[in-house]
Amino acid sequence: MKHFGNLSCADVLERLDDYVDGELNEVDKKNVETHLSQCSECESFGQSYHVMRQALAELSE
Amino acid sequence: MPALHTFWDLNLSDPYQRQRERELMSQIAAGDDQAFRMLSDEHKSALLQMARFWSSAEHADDIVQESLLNAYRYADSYRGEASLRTWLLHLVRNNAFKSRSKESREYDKRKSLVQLGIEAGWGSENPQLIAERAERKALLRAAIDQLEPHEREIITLRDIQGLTTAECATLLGEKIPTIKTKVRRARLRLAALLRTMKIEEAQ
Repeated sequence: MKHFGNLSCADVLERLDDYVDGELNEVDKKNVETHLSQCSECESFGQSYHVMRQALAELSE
Repeated sequence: MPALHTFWDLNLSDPYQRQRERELMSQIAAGDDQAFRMLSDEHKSALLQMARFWSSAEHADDIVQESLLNAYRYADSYRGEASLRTWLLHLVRNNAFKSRSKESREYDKRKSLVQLGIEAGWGSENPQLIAERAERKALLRAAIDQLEPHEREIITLRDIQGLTTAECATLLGEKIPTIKTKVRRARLRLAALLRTMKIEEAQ
């Protein structure tokens, strides 16, 4: 697990749902975005995770 | 990395929605059949989806019919404490569990030829796009089927049906932090399953 900004990859994993749902406060949101902009592994995982959630929402159609 | 939260912000609930739902139920309680048809049209497919999950494809129609009749009969008991969708899902869940206690559950995974045809792009102006989407959906459904029942339940309610965390908590009788943890774990399990399936597919 790497550390970028104030957060480790594990911290980002824990906050990813709230980030995607727009439920983080401004400080946490900024910290997650700082980490994502510097960590290619979390950035790539975040993208896949986002696509998975979009695809899940499409199952209701 | 795009601002991911913007997409999901679209799901923010309408503050006037609850008031409209209370009014609709008052109309139904007063015997307004058109209001009842509106209720049925708006929620039936979502109720069917969960009835199939909590019971079986075979009994889902009957369970939803029974639940809608319950909603008609007890419309005056809707107070608007939960969203109307959550209230209706409560009725479906209760009726599904009653039905399951009568007969053992039989899970029919067979799809009709028409359904398979539609997923394969039949009737589409852009068959390739539809085929890709159907393939993605089929892969996702296969992964969801491999989840544990409690994981499948929470993913279906929260991510497919689009209930809020608070609504899931009300429906399942759990606390909000518990639901958040369950959702997070279920999504990660689903992501892991999808990853494994994609790797196997590529080999």
